[in-house]
Amino acid sequence: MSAISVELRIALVTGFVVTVLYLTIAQNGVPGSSSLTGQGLGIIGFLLMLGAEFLYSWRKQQKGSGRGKLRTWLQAHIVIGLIGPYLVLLHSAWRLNGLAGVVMLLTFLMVASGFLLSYIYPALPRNVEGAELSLPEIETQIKEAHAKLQFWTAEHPEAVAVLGQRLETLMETAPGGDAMSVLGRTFLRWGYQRQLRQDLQGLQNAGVEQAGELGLLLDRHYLLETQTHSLAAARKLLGQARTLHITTGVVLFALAFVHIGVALYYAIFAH
Amino acid sequence: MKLPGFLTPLGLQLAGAALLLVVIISLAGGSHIFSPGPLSAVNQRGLVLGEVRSHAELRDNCTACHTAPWSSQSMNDLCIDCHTEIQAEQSDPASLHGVLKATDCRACHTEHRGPQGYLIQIEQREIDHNLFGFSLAAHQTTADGLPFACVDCHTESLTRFEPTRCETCHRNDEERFVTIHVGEYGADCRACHEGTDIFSKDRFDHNQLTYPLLGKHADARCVDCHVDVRNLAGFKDAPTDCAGCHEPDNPHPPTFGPDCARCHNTEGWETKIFDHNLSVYKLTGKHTQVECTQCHVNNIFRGTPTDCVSCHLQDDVHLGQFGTDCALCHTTETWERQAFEHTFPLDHGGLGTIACVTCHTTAGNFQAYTCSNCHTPEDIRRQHAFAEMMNTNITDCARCHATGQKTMRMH
Repeated sequence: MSAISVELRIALVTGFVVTVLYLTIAQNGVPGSSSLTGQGLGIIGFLLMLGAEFLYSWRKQQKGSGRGKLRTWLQAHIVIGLIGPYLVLLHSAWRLNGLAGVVMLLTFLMVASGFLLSYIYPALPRNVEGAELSLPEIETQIKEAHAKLQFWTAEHPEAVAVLGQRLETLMETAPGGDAMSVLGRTFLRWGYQRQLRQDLQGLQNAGVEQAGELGLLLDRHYLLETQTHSLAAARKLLGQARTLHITTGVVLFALAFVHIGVALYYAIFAH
Repeated sequence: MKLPGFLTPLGLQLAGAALLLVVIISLAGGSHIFSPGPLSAVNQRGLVLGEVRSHAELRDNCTACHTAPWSSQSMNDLCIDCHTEIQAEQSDPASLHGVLKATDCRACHTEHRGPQGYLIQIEQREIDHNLFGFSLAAHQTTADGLPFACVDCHTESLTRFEPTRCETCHRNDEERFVTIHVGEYGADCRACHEGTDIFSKDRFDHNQLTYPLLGKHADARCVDCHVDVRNLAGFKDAPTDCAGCHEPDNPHPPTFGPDCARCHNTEGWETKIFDHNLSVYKLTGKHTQVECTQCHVNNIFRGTPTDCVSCHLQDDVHLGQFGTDCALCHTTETWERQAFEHTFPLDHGGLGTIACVTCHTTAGNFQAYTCSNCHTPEDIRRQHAFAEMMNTNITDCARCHATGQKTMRMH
């Protein structure tokens, strides 16, 4: 999640700078699409969008060839994939008409599907290098987490005594299995953590030290269990979102080229 | 060649379908999908040009304005085909389009800005208003400090300017001044003002002109001299001679002539700068204290006599016996102080009072004298022969007998 924040921050800062420049230029009126500023925004934005599409796709095809971390390329893909459409939006001069309007709407859809992808992406358990874990690897991690919990409870019988049946409930709580549990996992985990904090507060009130350790172990256990249960749904959703993202992009670029061709025709030849 | 990963079969199929849809729509007469925006439906003048009332009616007919690349016509030609009055203006140097020498319609007139879109996309600074004889140098911001918009002045049409528009705006700021100013010089402000504010108090200095305003003239109102002026040339027609303005104020008779400056200056009518001593008759002594009218009766200056008796006849105590040239004996300092000194003793060296006419026999001429009334030439010759003085000049008696006595002056 922190890696996503970095690229979002870069995109936001860049977008802010672009906005300031745009507002400065727009003091005497919104630059029209066909003005020098408008055309410049459109050309740069479109090239960035093309770059975001082509370069990340190309890198994914270069498996293991030492072209840099895939995550870094994804971050770059996200950054220029946000800035490019923003420039194209400014190029539109806030008028969405005809084919150009359709292209702009497809751009919105592609960006939105990109955000959806970036949300679903972490739902799949990954190792520290970002590679998706296999089911055996996940099961191993769950076993390890379970063993750590057992070990901790064995060493802290007073905590087991205080929590009683609540400990079993906390260890067994793991929603998942459908698309909604993937899409709503942030909310579900927030609810679990809220309950967990209340129970841990009870432990601390009872004088059990290291209640925080139990909290970390239970949260890790919850995450792995949830991911395991939602694995199929998450993969399916990720595939659908990726299909939407990529397909939208292809249609978008096809229509964008038509738009560019028509604009050039009317700007250069038909007058 | 390996295709990029994002070119999935589904994506390519959908892209192909989208392109096909675009082609179908455009072939079905829906080429407006390529339009960057709706055309203007504005028709300010209610005219029907090219069989349409507004561009919006050409929505599905792109070729009404856009020409094919291979066409010999340009978009400008198509504009002019409908807007024939503009073609006429382009060849009229007095019109907006003629002054601008505008040939590229799209440089100023843009379309596809929506049904209410304004077809004129041009900033005032892009138009050199100097071409129209009015600079925008003094019209950068309104009284509110906001940048001027074209419609602030061109309220009805950008191609026209109503002269009264100036008055409307400026009256809001300077009601009293504008009322007076328009009353004095008319409402056609541009007849005199060309936008650079040269008549502002900070910039305009009448004293830099050929007629500086000095003395009381500096307090005069413009309209006092520039009467019924309606344009800049009219200001230059203002008279520069005194009589041009002051003739109604002139209390003098025509004999004074039109050049007031001979006697007056701009400090006030009371100030007299006439130097009488520059005239042929210099005022000295008591004459300097005399009122002008004592000599110049009835304000008649030309032809005033310069001889003494013309004024002093009544003062002549000599009853005319010494003639009319008082200056022979008197000065302007006083009557009492006589300039005359009778070098010859009036008692003839102890002979008692002798009447003037005894020696001065020529009436009115006291420079001439004679001794022969008493001393006959025969006696003179005889007495001088006796003294053996016959070879000397014996006709100028006073030369040797300055004391009136017989004492001789020997030469």
